[in-house]
Amino acid sequence: MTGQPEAAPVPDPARPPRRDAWDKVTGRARYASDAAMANMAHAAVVRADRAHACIVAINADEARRAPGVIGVITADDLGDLGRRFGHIVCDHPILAEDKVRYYGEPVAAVVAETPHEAADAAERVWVDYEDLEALTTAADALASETLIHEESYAGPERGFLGVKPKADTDNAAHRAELGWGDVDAALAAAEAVVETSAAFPLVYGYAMETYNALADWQPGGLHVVSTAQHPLMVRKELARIFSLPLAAVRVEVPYIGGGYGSKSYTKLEPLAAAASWATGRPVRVDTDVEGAMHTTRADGAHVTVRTGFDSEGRITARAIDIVFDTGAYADNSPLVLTKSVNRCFGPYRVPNLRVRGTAVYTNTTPASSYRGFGAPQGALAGEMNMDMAADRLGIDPTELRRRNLLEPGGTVISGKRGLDADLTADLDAVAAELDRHAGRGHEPGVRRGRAVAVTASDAGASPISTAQVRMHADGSVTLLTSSTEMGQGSRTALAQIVARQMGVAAAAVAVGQSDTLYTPFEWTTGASRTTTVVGLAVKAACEDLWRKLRAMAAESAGIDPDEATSGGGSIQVAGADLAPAAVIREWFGADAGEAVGIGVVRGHGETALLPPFWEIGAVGVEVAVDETTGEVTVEHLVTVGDVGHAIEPDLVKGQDLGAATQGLGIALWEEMVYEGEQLTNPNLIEYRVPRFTDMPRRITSVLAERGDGAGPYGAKGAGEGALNPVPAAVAAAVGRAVGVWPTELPLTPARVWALLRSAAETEAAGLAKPPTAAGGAAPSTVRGPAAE
Amino acid sequence: MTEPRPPEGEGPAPAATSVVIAFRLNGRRVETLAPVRLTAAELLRDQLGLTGTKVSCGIQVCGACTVLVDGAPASSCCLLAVDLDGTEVVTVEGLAQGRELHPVQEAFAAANALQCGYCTPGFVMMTVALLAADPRPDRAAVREWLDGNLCRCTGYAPIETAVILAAERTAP
Amino acid sequence: MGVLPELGLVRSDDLGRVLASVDAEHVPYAGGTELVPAMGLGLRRPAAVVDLKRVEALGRIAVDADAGAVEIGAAVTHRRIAEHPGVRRHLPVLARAAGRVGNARVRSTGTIGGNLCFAEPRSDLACVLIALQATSEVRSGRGARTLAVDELVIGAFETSLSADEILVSVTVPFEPAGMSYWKLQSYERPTLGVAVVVTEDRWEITVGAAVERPVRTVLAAGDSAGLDDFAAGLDIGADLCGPAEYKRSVLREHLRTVLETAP
Repeated sequence: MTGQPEAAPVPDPARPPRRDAWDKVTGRARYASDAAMANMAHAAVVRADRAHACIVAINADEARRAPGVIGVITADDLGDLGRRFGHIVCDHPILAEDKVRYYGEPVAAVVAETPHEAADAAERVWVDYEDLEALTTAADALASETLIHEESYAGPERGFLGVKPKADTDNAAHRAELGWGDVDAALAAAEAVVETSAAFPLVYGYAMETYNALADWQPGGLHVVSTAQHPLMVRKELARIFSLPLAAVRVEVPYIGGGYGSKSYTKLEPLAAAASWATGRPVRVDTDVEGAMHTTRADGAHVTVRTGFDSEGRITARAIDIVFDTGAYADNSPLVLTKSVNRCFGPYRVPNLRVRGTAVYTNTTPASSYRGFGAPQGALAGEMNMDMAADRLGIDPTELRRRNLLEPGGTVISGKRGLDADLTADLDAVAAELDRHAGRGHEPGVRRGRAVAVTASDAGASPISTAQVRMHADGSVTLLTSSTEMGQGSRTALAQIVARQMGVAAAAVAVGQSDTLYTPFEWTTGASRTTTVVGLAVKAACEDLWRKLRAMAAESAGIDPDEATSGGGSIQVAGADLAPAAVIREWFGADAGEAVGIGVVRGHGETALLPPFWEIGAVGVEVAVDETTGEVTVEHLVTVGDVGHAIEPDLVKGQDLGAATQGLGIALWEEMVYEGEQLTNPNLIEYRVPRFTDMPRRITSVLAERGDGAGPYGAKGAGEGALNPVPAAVAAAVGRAVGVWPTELPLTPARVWALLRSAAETEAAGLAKPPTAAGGAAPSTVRGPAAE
Repeated sequence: MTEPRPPEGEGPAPAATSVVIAFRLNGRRVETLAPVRLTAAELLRDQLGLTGTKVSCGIQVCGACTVLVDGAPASSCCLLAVDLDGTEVVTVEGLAQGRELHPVQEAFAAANALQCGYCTPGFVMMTVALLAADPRPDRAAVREWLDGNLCRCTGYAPIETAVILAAERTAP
Repeated sequence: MGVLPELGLVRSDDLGRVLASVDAEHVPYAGGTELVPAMGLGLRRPAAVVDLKRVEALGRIAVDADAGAVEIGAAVTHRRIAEHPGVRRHLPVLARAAGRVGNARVRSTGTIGGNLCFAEPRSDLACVLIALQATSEVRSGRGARTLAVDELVIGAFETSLSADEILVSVTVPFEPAGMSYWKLQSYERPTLGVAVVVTEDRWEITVGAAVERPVRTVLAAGDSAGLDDFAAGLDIGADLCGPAEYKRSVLREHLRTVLETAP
């Protein structure tokens, strides 16, 4: 039976739908891929057909003579432009210089009048290479003498959020550590030590709008329309590359067709801009899915966790090693690694901790941010480790977690914000929902397993945000923010905050698209920060607007500003209750004018302590495994959205289900497969993402609203939380179902079949007891590689 | 192998690299010279300015570029524009009647069955085609029919709700 | 997929002219569901496509009750096969298989002829048609010939057609009693397809998708050892769907379920 998913939002006519709904159902929503400019030319990218090689020569003569071609640009044609970008490590050439470092790396751009002419001519660019040793795995890169980058790029001026390029030149792109106490002593004294190793795949975010950029360079200025999640970060890089003032670089970001972190930081914008600079024409650069897979992916990881427990099942120490496969360029991976180090040990009381992380350059597509930002990689081994420990100790896995979870306000990392969540309550909610619908009875040929997992992430990124609210002469309000709308519904939620603060209907609030020419500074759109951090800036802007309105009313009445008060959506002056719109009209002396409020968030007040909030992931899954085919069906998915306060509950649930579904994709299907130097599945036939029929048979979405966030009305962010623990939960549930703990994702049917076979061999040899028929949360003996 | 004999009738037909085509697009007549290499999606988006049709996977797996050709759903990314000759084409821009949204569009908006929106036109067009063939599909039929459309944001459940809602509102 | 390469079009409603136009550089084209992506991915680069869709004879489905067969024109779409009352009545397994090819858009545009002639190994129709012992009519300017579908599809992406030949139609004998088709499809295309016809004394088995081209065998009912040998002897390939031993294991298990444990 296929039950109705409980999380499906039931349309409520009383609530206004998303404000982008009309645009999006009519096809009118404008994305960067729809943007055009007069006299626009098109660039086709010539990409490396090998993973690691010196460029001996590039012959573009034939291409330059091809019909419609305006110019061919290689690294040699970039004149005095900055050659490389990279906000942490400036290691990423706009076009490969001297050597290529991954299969698919851009080597040249052919600019022509039409996409067809550009593509035809791109086939006539000949590149001579001299091959170097290709290092396509982190293990190979760490073991080899061959360097992927010969220089460190360290310099006094670089560094980002305290993360700086390392000084030595080896194949490590970055290293990060965290720890306290005496781990070795604690492990030696532990009642039990449980070790888990797990491999997290190379994942492609597959935002359905693939990376694209349109750039128009003119003397003294640059205008770019792109898919960038963080327009202000892109502006900064472009200003440096083109030696322009920040104000002279305009980055415009219309609706984004999916981001999930994969469009963070700078991608194709420098290439489009350089092509425009070189040809004097506006230039579009588009990618297809293959080009996108050659642009950015998420960090793959090998993580090993060793945890010591006392006889009561309390954690005494955790030692964790993280090795990231970061690809050819650092992009944001140093920060992702740093976050992974912070997030991998779980929201548990860990008296002794040692985490060592290394991000390793390899000759593969560069890795960077992706939804979860290092948390899913760490949680896979970290949370499976808790399940393996539960088995070893004979304690129910939910109970084992309960015994170790941090209490509200507890210290995750010394010096950081205390835990602003009640994880035990969240976990109990997950367990209760999972139990309530537990699959019963025995279906021949099917094995079931259940598991829960919990994560907490230092989210919200840097608390730097500005917002502007402009109230017009009729009392309606325009909100300007550079936060980008990529589907999360930020325009809807932020408008809701303005409506509440200003006492106007949401319909009377307009929200513009981000455009650095007009909209105020925003750090990033990522790390689930918008409602919390941008929301605080918007709230502050509204407070400023009220202040301005009071001052205007007082001035009009000829009284001291302090004598004007506001409340209940109006201004009180000398016993009179004035509507804000009336105050504006009175002050300007006409049915005209507007009042402007500015809101700023920086590391002070509610956001003085970092992180701005801990983003919680608490999920449970029940899976069914087909014994013959190894196919895994998700029978039940439970998510708890611990968001403090849900400004738009449907949108929060939508974020949770969407995030969890991407987690299911990583758990079961998604993996970029390299064979030799080449990516073998650069398309959506062979890179399989979750489909409609993969939807969990039952979906339970719980919202936990305890008002414990630092954001507006006690809100905290959502968007990544429900992804982070899902791969771990699925892996543990499958492990319980088949009787062997998985060591790598995704759990494709063939891999699960191999686990089943291995379990059968073990059973036949009498090495282990079979798992309980229903799997379930009850302890069962599951064989693990280190469970000696 | 025997020597090829001349075929009945005339000799080989000449190959053209561009063809004048005429078709009805959202109710209006369009006549244009289409290069054979041009896809229907490129014609609609780049030459006719109807950018509501989105291109994503490029290999008819994701469904973002779905349009209706003579009432049947087609992946415009893999359909030659010349094959539109003589057909009746409906894109997402052709659904609303003046200010009135099509019931399927209305249902997607009401059910919050979208996030980034890039897949939405394709899902809407596929749903229109589904309801034309099967006005009261059950949930299994909805899943089966839409299994060839990808959405990366929603997790699909709200889309299923929207389709059922649209069916309830439109079924005779 | 990038943009398509420079391409010519030959279009005629006259089969003779179409036949006169087809050669190695001028390739037959109908739905384009295989050819267009292949061109976009740079895997095929013909000078021109020869459109078969306007040739009426290629778009017909004819049920011949006397002969006990259905003739399906090469340019008939999967959707029409799936929905055609005569096909549903006399060839229900084929109708169901056609109704599950790709997705609804592929079924609306893709054709049986394109499917067979592209000879993508991970295809359902070739397996079902070979199991049904269908024959194909092939024509060129030189004349016509009839051959079994089993002889038409000879390898992965390989047919026995000459460059100047086109597939005109497929003639499918009415489905025998005891036929079924099952596939393992965890990805966009099937990992394994198995058609069986069970009679009192025979097991007819055709395996597709996991092999380069469908392989058919006939065993005496109850010949489990023969079944083992057949499964073990198949040249099954490894790919992203899994290693050969996985597919072989699923195949063997499936055959055990449908044949040996059948009531």
